[in-house]
Amino acid sequence: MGVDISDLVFKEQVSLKGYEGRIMAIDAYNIIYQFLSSVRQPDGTPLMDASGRVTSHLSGCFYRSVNLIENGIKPVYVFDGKPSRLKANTIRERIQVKEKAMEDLVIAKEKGDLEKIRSLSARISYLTKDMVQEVKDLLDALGIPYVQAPSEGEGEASYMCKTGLAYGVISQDYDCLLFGAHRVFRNFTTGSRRKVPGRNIYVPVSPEMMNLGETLSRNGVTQEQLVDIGILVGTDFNSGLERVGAKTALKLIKKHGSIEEVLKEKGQVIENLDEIRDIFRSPSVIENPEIKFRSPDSNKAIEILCDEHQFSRERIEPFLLSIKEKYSEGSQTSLDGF
Amino acid sequence: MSRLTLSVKNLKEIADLLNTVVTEAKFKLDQTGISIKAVDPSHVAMISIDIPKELFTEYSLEKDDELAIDVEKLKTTLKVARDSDEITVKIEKDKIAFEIGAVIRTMNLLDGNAVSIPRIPKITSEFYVVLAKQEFDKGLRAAEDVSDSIKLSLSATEFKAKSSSETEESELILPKDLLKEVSCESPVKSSYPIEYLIKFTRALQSCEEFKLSFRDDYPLTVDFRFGKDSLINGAFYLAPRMEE
Repeated sequence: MGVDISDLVFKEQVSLKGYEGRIMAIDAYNIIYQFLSSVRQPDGTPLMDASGRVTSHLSGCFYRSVNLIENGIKPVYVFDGKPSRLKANTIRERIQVKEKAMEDLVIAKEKGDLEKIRSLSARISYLTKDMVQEVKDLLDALGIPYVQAPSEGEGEASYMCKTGLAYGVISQDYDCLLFGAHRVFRNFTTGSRRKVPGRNIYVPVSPEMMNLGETLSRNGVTQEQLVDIGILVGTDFNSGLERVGAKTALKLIKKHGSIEEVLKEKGQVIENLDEIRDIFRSPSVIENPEIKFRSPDSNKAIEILCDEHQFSRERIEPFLLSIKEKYSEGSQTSLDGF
Repeated sequence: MSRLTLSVKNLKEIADLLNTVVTEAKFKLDQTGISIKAVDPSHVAMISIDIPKELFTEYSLEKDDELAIDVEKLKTTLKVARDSDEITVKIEKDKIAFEIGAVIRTMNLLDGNAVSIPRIPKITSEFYVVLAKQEFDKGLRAAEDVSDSIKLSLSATEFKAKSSSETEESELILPKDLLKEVSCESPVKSSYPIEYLIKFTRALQSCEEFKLSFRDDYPLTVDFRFGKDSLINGAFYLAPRMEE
């Protein structure tokens, strides 16, 4: 999913502790999908309530948001709106991957291959309208603001970062860099370890920051050229050129200057090129989203989590108390900004 | 070798003030006196102190110097001295010696590279109030167990310091006639972490009045003078706490 320009991106290890008082725009769909595939029981099935409804998205959203807030970060979730028509292929492919995984899962279950069952199950994540609404209701109860983007959530979140409404964007993907977000934070909403796909081992995961300015200057390209590199590699809106990875794309763009020249040279075509560029360069956004942090409504949160979905009250309550205290503290600034 | 002699009481107060934000600090010595700047690790509070050479009974400097000093050790060293004593500080190479009466305490200076001098933030505010420190202390003490933040507000006619929680409230109200000086064209207010203020005011014992400058959601500057003949000049900077 997303554009793979990992090799070109300048990343630095950071800690959640260094961002007290900062507003972070969260690429909501990206993060919720991450919860759905990672917040699971040992056999790979998602967390479920007594009536069999998936609750991984609520669990992830609750615990990870609390963790951010306890570190003084102010999260704002940004939800996708209507996807671009160009994303249809990507969406179709994602559905196909899931369908294939479902078929394989049936076989794996017949064979009793536990490892396979777990890995295939993680690939089958459905985010329904109802689940999105549940997350929004939970955020409302927690006093966490969210923004409904007109189209791409990443576009809106990156816009918020570019214009200073947010300090950075939290997303696992690189796409926000193409959208022009100055700072993109990864692994801010994950646990401290991650399972290696296909193997029964875990590796530690630490938060990192992807820095757009450094990425551009170290590679000696402009923001426009970075977008062109992304398009050559392939984005959610096009499949990219064959056998062109990030490093090759960088070479090509540096040699030829722009994607048009690269295509002329190679005698290839990328359909809807201008439209794709436009999505990254000037995504449709809400210009002044309302961002208001409110005091958490504990009763409402308990109603959603505990009454409706059987989360343990004893576990939830201390966290609610903690974010309530954090809210009433306001946020301590530092002298560095002056 | 450099030799400096000053009153124990003054040096104690300097060490206490620095210790409200740091455990190590760099002292900058030149022909006019000593200046020290220190910021706490979270960069919420900063203190800057200027000690003119007139404060010293002896101020003989071999050369301009920067000394990185363990402030907590200095405080412990000073515990053996009475406030009325004088202390002589000798600096030679990487060693510093304190002579208090018959006691000589020597310690190594810290590695100068390990202690940095912070940049003073660019803070200006034409809104300020000069008041008796004692009055402000009362307001802080009353607010201490109500909340961990205190909201200061200033208008042309009064100064207020208020803390509140869900169930309790504490407010200090000083009308104009109880203030030494006010300059405030339009009302301003801002909140600050109370813990830092309390530590700072407790350490600053020999000061009778100080000047608070701030504006809306902006760092607070406390300008103060203390020590013999109020010769020591200092400023305390505190970052605001933003409220929703």
